[in-house]
Amino acid sequence: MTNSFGAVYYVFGFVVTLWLVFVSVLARLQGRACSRSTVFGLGAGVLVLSLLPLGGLPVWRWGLSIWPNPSVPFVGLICLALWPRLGGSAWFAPSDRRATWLFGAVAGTALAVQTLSPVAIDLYGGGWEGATAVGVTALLAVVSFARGNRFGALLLVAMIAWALGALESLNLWDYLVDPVYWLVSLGGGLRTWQTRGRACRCSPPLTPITPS
Amino acid sequence: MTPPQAAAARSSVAQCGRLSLRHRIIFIAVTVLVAAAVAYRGSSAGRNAPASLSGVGMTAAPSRAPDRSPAFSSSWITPVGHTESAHSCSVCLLPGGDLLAVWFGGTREGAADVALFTSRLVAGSAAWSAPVRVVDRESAQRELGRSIRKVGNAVIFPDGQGNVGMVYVTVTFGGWSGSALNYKVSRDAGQTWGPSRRLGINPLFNLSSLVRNQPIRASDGRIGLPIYHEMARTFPQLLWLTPAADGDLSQYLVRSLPGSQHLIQPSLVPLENGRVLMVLRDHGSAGRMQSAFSDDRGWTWSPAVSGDLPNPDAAVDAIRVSDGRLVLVYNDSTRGRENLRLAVSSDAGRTWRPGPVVEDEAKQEFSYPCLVEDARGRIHLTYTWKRQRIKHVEFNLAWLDQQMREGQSASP
Repeated sequence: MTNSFGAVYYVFGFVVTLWLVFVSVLARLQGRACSRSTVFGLGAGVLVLSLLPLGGLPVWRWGLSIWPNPSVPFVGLICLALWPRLGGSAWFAPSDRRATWLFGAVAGTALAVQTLSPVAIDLYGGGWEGATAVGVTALLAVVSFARGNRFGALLLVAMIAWALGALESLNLWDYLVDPVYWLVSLGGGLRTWQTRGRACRCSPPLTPITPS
Repeated sequence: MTPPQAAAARSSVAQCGRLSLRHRIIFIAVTVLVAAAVAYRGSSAGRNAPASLSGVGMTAAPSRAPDRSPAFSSSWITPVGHTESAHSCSVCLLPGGDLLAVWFGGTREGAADVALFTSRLVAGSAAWSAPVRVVDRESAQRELGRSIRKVGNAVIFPDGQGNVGMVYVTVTFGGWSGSALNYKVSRDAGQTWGPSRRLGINPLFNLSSLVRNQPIRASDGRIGLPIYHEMARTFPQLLWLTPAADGDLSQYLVRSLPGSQHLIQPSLVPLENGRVLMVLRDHGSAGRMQSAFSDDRGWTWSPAVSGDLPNPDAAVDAIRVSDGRLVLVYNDSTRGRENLRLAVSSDAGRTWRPGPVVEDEAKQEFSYPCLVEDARGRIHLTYTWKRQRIKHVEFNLAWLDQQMREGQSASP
């Protein structure tokens, strides 16, 4: 990160991610949803934990050491998942979330394949091309909004975050997708696929057409 | 999600549904406005091929006629016993005529006590200054605000704004393939250094970017620093830095060489008419030095091809000297780094004629060479000597030509 806004964004992204993990794990262990006061308490605890020094660095800086550029859509999804647990109403419909996971899986795979396998194409390089990269991102957002999908809002915020220098990377693609978002999207996609597969297998057989 | 949460979510989702037509229009309008403003701010300046190149840290136009009598000398940059191990020296010519060298030293490569040191050879002087510790694990961790396990290769260069830039490698986890690049600047010609800044180069956790050789400079002030990627797939890249007047970077971007594999540590040589030569260390099994050319000042590149010179998976370096020829330094072997030899090209890097052997000793290592020509037409070569010290060799073209004619070894 190159400015104080970047530090605030990083701490925010780190804290909400850890917060959601703790809330989810505790709910699973209890076998029921956490109460609102518990959720708030965990949030405060995670914030304090993130600022505590560990091995000469605040805990959040250990996160920065291995996950330097949390993307805006991922942080947005985390916030959208936390919000109902804090008593708010859901902002994203399932189709909005699916679009966000699909984008993370596709965009993340494209960038990872380019980095890890021998393909003669420099996709990541496109993210340095200011106006072109912004144009592509804006087009995706407009298409999303035109279809009534809220995923475009995350792309819109990502463009603003890029203009403000929220991440240490100057590449716009890093604002749109990151490796954690990519892997979680792939996992989410796989789970959805498995769930649908089970649903198909469990659905009642078609009634045979009996000749009259 | 637990049943009550799921029920709550279902009810609120039922409320939010898809965007209404009014909201779609509003969001689209806002997107267009924001995109226009953001795109205007991030204009394409500095994101296209440079119009022309000028030399940086490569070749200085001689200020006077080159020496006609052969000259050759050698000296040590690192004092005896300075560190147990010393490696990966990079040297640059400062605007005032001094040479500034940087290398890493410690108990062994990759050890936690390894630090970056600089030393200066004042113009006209014969002895290098005492090494100055400029970056170590602790200072890098403090300046970068993250965990740093070790430091590695560094390159220093004048940034064209009156400052000296340094790009260096740090590792947080794992080996060198887990490395990242950092930038720092000196506003007093390498006497003191400002804080470090992490450069975001790679989409996968910003891992596996390294640096080794000197940059080229565009006439618009941009610096084209050759870097390389080492995780899963090894390939060269060009990091284009745009220094600001205050010494910081106003912008940077990276361009990868598409389709190239097993090639690392690119060395760039600016040629005539915007052509640039890249010579590369072969990290694969070919055992040959590789070359690629750019005809648009380093922006796009031809596929790399094997040359006649051997390469034992070792760094090479090349420069264009004042008479227009190219001088290359390499290990003349397909395995091992037991010698170090010069080669000359009179046809812009298409063919190379092997020249004098600078070092040759069985079961020893002479590696990571770096070349620079000063304003007097003297060529300076620095390299790792037996992994123990950094050696400096100075010669002129008259000596090189004499050696080429006589086919002699340079070692006493």
